[in-house]
Amino acid sequence: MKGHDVFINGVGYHPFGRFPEKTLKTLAATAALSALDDAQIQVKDIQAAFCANAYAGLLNGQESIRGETWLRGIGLGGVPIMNVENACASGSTAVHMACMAIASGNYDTVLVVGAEKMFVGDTSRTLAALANSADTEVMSNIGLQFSALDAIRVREMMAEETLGEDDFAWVTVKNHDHALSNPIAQYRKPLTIEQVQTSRMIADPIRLLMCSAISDGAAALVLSRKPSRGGVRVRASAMASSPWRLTPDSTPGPTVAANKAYDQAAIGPQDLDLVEVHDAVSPAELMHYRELGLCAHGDVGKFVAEKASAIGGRLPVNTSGGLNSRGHPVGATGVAQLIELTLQLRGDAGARQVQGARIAMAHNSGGWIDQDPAVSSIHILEKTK
Amino acid sequence: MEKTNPSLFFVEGEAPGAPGLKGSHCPECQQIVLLEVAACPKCGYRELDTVCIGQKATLGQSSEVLHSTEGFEAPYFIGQIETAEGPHTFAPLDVKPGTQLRVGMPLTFKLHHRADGRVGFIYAVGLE
Repeated sequence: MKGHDVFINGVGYHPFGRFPEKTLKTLAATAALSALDDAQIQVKDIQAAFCANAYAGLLNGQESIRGETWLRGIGLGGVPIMNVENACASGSTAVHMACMAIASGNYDTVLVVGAEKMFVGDTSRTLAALANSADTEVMSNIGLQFSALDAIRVREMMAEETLGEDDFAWVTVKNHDHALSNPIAQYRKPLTIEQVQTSRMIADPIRLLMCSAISDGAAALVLSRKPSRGGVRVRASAMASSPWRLTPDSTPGPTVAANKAYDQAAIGPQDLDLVEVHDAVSPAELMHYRELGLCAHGDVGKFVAEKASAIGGRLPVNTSGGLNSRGHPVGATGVAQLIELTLQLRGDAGARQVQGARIAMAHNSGGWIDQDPAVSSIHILEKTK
Repeated sequence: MEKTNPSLFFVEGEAPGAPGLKGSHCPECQQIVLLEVAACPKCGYRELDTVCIGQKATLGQSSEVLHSTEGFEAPYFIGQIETAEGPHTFAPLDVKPGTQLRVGMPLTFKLHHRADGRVGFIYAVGLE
């Protein structure tokens, strides 16, 4: 990344789950104060804030100034607060903007907060809000729910890889096992292969227990130009909108973003110690292995058979439990991925600690346009101490 | 006649070759893309022709959906399609439950009169 160094000096969250008694402001404030405490700084030390949310306008009746309303309650005022909305990648987009703000030299210490409140007493309203994260001119009114879109993408992968239902169930079980020791996670109980395979079919081959859940939750980071405890530095922050695919050999959006990040960090996927990926449905994690270069095209089945992506494997993926188990409060997800990586690089991940982790990557995607996510976002972090 | 997706498709009489999907043709480089766009994504030319495309298409991957959504009672099918002119998109498929769909099947654009009174579209398997 060009410019000044950017370090993650504090992490904080409100656990993900169902919290009907709590407001979006409460969730966001809890995460923000927790991140300040973790960074051992005060509200007065924050020079700017970037606040991520996707659906408060549609679900909670708060448009336009979401971040200002959240952070007034922690005593923050008189500083720039930027509201970021970029579908399921809102959180990582806010982090990207915060990184650019520090790297440019304009700010020394900034706060990022991602928050979402999706339980509103009417699941159909929440699903309708999610559906707005596609190009509505093209994808509304044609029966294309995101689960169906993911099902079609998974089938594309199945046509090119040696994969089947057992592999999809395995990755779901693996991520639920990972989430057992994650205090932020919505689901902290193990699943069996049989439970996954007998859960209701939603859009063939995607079953209910493979889908990320509706969540309330919040996540926050303190980013700074100077390191504090842990010395976790942002080595790359890259994004790509949905590319125009005008030729059959065109590069998918997530790969475009990952290649930019690898270039920025001057590393390759072989240098990574762990990865968080955007598993909106758990089989999508397998797609991301090859899109991000974690394994070669044609080798996804082998990667799964080796259990390479489980904790203890050669490249653990979604040690937090991923969207599938940690939960997916949309605006918070991209921030929560970086909380997990920061804890891992500090050595603070407890029972799910990846021993000796030094370099870690997060992949967050959002929405859909044409043949790709509307947004693909990649961050690479490194331990410098 | 109220259309479900006015920006996405033409009904009869709205454009030569209609009904079909709405596209843009670049007279400079011959690129065709879905929807009306302001500039060609290949060469940047700005005086694009609006054209009707996708009367014929080919099926890519598809899924049987078992969770109803507005206007679509489960089970129903949806698939990725490649129009004869090149652009890809997603579309509902006019097939019965249990139908075995295959990649590469020929598809034909059809208008679909919905229960809510609006007109949508659907792709039928086979060439009509």
